[in-house]
Amino acid sequence: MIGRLRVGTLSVYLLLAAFALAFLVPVAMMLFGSFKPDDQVLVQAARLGSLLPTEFSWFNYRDVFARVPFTRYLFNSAFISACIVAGGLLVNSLAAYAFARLQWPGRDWLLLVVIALMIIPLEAIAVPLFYEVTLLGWRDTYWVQIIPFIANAFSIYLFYSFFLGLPRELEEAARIDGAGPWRIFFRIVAPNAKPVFATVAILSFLTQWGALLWPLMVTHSEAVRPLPLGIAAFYSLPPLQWGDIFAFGVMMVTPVLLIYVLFQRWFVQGVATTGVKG
Amino acid sequence: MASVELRNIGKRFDNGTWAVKDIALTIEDGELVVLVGSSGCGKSTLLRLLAGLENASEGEILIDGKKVNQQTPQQRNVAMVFQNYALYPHMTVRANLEFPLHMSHTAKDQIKARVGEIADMLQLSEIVDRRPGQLSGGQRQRVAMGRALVRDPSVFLLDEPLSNLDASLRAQIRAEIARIQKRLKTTSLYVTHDQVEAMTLGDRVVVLDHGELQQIGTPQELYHHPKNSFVAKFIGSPGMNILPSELIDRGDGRLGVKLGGQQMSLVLERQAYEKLVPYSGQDVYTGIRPEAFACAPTQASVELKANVEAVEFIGHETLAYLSLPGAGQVHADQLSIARLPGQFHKPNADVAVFYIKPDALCFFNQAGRNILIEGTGEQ
Repeated sequence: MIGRLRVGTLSVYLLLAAFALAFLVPVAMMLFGSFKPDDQVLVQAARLGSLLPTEFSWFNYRDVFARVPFTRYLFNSAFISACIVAGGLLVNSLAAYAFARLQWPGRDWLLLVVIALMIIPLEAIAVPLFYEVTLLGWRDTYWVQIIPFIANAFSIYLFYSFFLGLPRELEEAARIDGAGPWRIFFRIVAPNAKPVFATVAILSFLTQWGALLWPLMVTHSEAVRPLPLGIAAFYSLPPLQWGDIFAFGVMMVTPVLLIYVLFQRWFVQGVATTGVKG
Repeated sequence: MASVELRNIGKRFDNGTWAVKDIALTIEDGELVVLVGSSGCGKSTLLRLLAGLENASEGEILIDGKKVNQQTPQQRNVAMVFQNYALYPHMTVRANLEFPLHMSHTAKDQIKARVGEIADMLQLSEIVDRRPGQLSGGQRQRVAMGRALVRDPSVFLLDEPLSNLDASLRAQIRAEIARIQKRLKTTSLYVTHDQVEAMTLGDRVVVLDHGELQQIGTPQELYHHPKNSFVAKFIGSPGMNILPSELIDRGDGRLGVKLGGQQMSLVLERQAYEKLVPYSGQDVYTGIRPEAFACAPTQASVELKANVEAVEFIGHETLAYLSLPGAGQVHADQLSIARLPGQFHKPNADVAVFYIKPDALCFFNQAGRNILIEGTGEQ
């Protein structure tokens, strides 16, 4: 009996390990490959045993900076993502608060519309949106990459469900103490909603950091080009050097990982709960 | 400090049901009035209407003679203690106490002085730098009181402030609330479902049921002269026993009360007799307080025989659960309760004899109204 149980547990762990390996190998290959001289990258990729580089070199990283304006791409991505995250936190949380707590005509209908909007992917509206921003004369700017993504139905929904779980008495107590709706939001509600702010910040940052389709459609100059478009262009920039591409990839992924590690505690809390204990 | 007047206040929800209806109530300056009723009776709604957290569907709310229906809670200068305290979890105790003063743009040195004063009064000085999550239930309760009192409100509202505390702490804080209220003489409205709290705290008590006002009076009035059978059953612990019975006029100020298979013969004062006589030959309800039962006869007491179904010894007294031979109950599953001093043993015989003073009896008509006080204009 115990033997059978052990075999069962063991096989489950083996399966999990196999999956973990399948997911980790590409990441490891990218990381180690970025330190390998170019001629070794593909040769050694054939054997798992030679995943680790025989010699470490920063050559590929230097090469990336020499061949493309990487710092420009990095700044563009950081600036665009930061604007979207900051603007999104403000706009979406306020909208969600209005849905969750304020009384106004048509509220419930509009909430349904917002929830329905979550199922429409960008790809479906990309062309009409492109037409719109062209009319506005916004193409090849930062704003065209920022403004359309600040208001976000999914973020509103996340904030909304969190706010519903907040004890109403807190806001009523603040009302009695003399606070108006703005002050209640910024002094009472927002400080007690940190987990959901962190969750929304991370989710929208991740989405924007990896955005490719829209920048591809609306930008053409390097001055406003973000990282994902940069790496795509880098692929097609001869000569094709895998070590350089890996180095580019590592540098693109690192900021996201850092942010995730920094806010991980709040992120987990935000996903796991929709209320705070008094 | 201020007086409060509610004129025919009603609140109807969107679905058409009335949470409270036609409530008229005056609270004198400095008075502590307790609103009591079972859950869902509209007592919290009434408090919220007065606080300005909800708008009345009809009627007028006056504070110090001024109509405040359209005013914000701050303009009304009301303060409230919530059932779950509603302390701001992200602020220290000090910041919680300062918040209402910041909102009213009080000068910094005044804020400091006032917070210090309140913290001293409520013994919070030791814990002002802690957050609500680090406090015990009693401490949180005191902080909530402090936050309400810090800006010297005209009206102090308390919504079941003791219901989250354990029994021993509850009695202690109840006494503290009474002490502070007497000291500050702030006009107060206190909501509770616990009639013991209502009776011990209130200068006057308001009993609500299904959104309607049942009776307003001092604790003594409610206890001795309940206006209807609801109040009679609600006030007192346990409440009054209400038994279906029949009145029989015997002439000369004497009245027979038929309770199941037996008849009590009462000699009544003229006034009481004249009020009850018109009901002779009719079915009425007789109310007997559990405390009105005695094991030995006293002057003018009448006999009542009952089967003792069970006894509960509580130390200084015993509760005996009785059924009257041949009589039904208002609720079949509810036996009459007698509250007897000391230790009472279940008798060996089937039937025990108890003695009741006639002036401790209440009589209710079919509509549940107290026949003895009806028509006297008393509330």
